[in-house]
Amino acid sequence: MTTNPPSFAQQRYLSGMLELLCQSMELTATQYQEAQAKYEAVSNWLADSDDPRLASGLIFPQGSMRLGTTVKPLGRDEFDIDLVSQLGYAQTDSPNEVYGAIGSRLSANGTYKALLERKNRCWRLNYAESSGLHMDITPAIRNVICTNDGLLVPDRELSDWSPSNPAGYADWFEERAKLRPTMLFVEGVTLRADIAPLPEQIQLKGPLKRIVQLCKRHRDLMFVDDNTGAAPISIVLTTLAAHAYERLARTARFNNEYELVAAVIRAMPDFIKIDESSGQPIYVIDNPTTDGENFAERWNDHPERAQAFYRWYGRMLTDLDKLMEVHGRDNVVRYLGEHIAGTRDAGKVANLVTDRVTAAREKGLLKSATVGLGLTTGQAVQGNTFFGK
Amino acid sequence: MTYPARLARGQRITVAQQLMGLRRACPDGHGSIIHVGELQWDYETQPTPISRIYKIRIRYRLEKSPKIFVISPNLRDLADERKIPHLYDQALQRLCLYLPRTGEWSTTKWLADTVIPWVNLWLYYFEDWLQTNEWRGGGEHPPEDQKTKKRKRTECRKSVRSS
Repeated sequence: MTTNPPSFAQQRYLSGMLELLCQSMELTATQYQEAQAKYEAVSNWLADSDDPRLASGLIFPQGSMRLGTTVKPLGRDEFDIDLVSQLGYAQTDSPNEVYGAIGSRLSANGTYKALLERKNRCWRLNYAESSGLHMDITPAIRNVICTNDGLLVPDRELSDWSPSNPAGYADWFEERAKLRPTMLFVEGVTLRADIAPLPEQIQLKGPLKRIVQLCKRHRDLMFVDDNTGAAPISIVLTTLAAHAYERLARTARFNNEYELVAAVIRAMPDFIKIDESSGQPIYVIDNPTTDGENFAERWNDHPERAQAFYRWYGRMLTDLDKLMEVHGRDNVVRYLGEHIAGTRDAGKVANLVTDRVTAAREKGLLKSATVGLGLTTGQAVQGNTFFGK
Repeated sequence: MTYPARLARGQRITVAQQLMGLRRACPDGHGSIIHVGELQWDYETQPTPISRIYKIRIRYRLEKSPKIFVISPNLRDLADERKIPHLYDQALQRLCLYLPRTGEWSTTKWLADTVIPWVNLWLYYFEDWLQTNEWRGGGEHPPEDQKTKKRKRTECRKSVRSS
């Protein structure tokens, strides 16, 4: 069988496929608007309370929806939005009291009461199955000792407060996401308004956000049958990717975006601090925006979680390397489905690209070169009808 | 585009001229005039940068239909027992690229402008078919019964003509 060395064109095509996969796995604009409307309604309901702690509070999104790194759960049309409900005048209240205040206000609304579910650290609203939406509302109060306008949220058992800073974290992440690494070969890709681009013309829309989405989906896929909770949590993947991306954006240069994706992932573990002075490793991934929040805290009482992270890391790198060795579009689509993005999104993207090729062909805009069909270079494909049995 | 310029419109293109056109379109290919009025051209191509590399052979005798074969890989191995659509011959791996007697191909057209891009298109839809089991490139099937005068058009008919 013929094999060819990893080529520039191949990497560029693949990074275009990765962009389309990320578009396919994130919330649609409609879902996003729907979530937004629901979040505003809840927000208003809490603010209209007679309880001064709620009336003077703030409610805002945190997590992937705020960061722009959403990934739908595998094989289901569901998604979660995470909200923080920050209460005013509640500095002396216990987490339980704050948690209870939000719960009783939500229960006072017949609609919300029917959707309400008590979770460990937050309240969950389970919207109609048709929308597939879950909204998690985490109580919070201002952290008066944090210099970065941080918050306190209930710790795991609701018995005490832990520092956190969702808004500050989002700003920190956004600053890094804005960085643009140096690309050695920037080709002037002119997109035409009348025809949808093919993968070789498609660039990553915000490389850091796309890398985080790819890591999360790869994690979901790898741990799909694992319910031990060992899978690396999103905030760990997001934080390490942002650190790695920042360093590489400031220091390195890349031939193309596929190289960038692999390099960022490769550098992620460099930002885990490991203290081995006590004989047993203590893992630290600091929240860069508040003191005292270690995103890897659970690794220290569950060493298998640290191991799970390193297993995921090794697999993700191998899977990206091996993707370059797969030839045949059918094999590549299968591989992307099984190892990187899930079969549903891989199939969807493959169909989308074929529809675009067919549309370009019908409009007489398709071109052909020995490295493939495209919209920019090569000989125009003239009209034909495949004949034969 | 015409390869040797100054060729009158509608003028028949000789085999030697076709060979010159192919050399310009795919400089990595190789071929020659193997008999009087007949050329053979071998080249490698990929329908996308993530595709296999396909070795293609074109045999063209003036006044006859150009014959296009996939030399490698073995398509039947890839198809895994499924019958491959739009082949004149499953064993010879001869591609059906155009509808005969419709002007899609004629002796006044350049192989490099027609057949070469169509091969990529065929290969694109072939790899798509391998994955989806559905031929999404459209086309027509020849009548099953040779005695039928009228050409039967199957449901998948989808003629694509660009200007």
